[in-house]
Amino acid sequence: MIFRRIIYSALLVGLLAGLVLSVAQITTVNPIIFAAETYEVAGHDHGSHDHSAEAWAPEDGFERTLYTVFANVSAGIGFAAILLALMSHLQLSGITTLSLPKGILWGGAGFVAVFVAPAIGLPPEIPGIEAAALEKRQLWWVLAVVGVAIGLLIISFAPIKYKALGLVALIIPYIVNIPHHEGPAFAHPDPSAVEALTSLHSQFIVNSALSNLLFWLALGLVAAWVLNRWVFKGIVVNHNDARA
Amino acid sequence: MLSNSSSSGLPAESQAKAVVASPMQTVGALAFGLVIIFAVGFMPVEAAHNAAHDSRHALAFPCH
Repeated sequence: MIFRRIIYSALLVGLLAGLVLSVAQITTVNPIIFAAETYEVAGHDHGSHDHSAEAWAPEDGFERTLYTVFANVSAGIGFAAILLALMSHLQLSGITTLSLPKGILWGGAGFVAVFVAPAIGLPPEIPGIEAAALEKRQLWWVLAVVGVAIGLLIISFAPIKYKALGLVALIIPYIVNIPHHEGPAFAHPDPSAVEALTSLHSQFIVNSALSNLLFWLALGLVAAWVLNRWVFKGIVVNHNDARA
Repeated sequence: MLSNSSSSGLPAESQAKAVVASPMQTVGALAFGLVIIFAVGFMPVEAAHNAAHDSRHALAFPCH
């Protein structure tokens, strides 16, 4: 069962990449989130995001960090399963043969599709930032990620006559209406707080981009390694037959 | 399971098919990944949002 092998492998790849992300996030990204939240609490109430009394939330400190690590490892497992499914399908079809350098390229492509592509239209957000309706942004996020991912896959692996379709898929997310927020990014009444939040936001974009790059390079590299080491173990002969 | 087929004496062509023809397994693994990504990044339940809050911000999912 290649399905079972992919899932087990995704657990391992996701655990490793999620831990890499967690170290980067806890040291460079979370301090910015916490700093921004102090302005959020002191400033205005954020409609959809009032931590109302009845809703459970992890305690600040160890418990909150633990849930962050758990969420990161889960995200790693999810992305790893998608990567491994695509990698194994393309390798079984004889379209590509994964190697560690190619794993790094896959990781880079994942970073471009899942972090850079949506960030071009909607920059990463810190707590307290003003933004358009959540559902619209989530919908556009999905469109950007899926469009750019499919575009990169077509350009990389489809026959030459179809490659133009890849360009179309890359462009579509940016010609539709991107749900931007109209007006200032921060509605805090104190101008010095707005200045501090603006500076935190630029630092956040840099630090989260670097953390995500590390995350995706780890995902691509370990996924490529695990694919040849374990997922395809014992079925290499059949793969060669398929290509013959 | 797949490796067994290589020693089963089947003609090479059908062996190849036995390995290549697994679109449902690929789709299954893709769906598994997508469900997890949805849970971590998009699930609107308040407790799920609070648990994954910092990760949603760090991974640049739309959050608030």
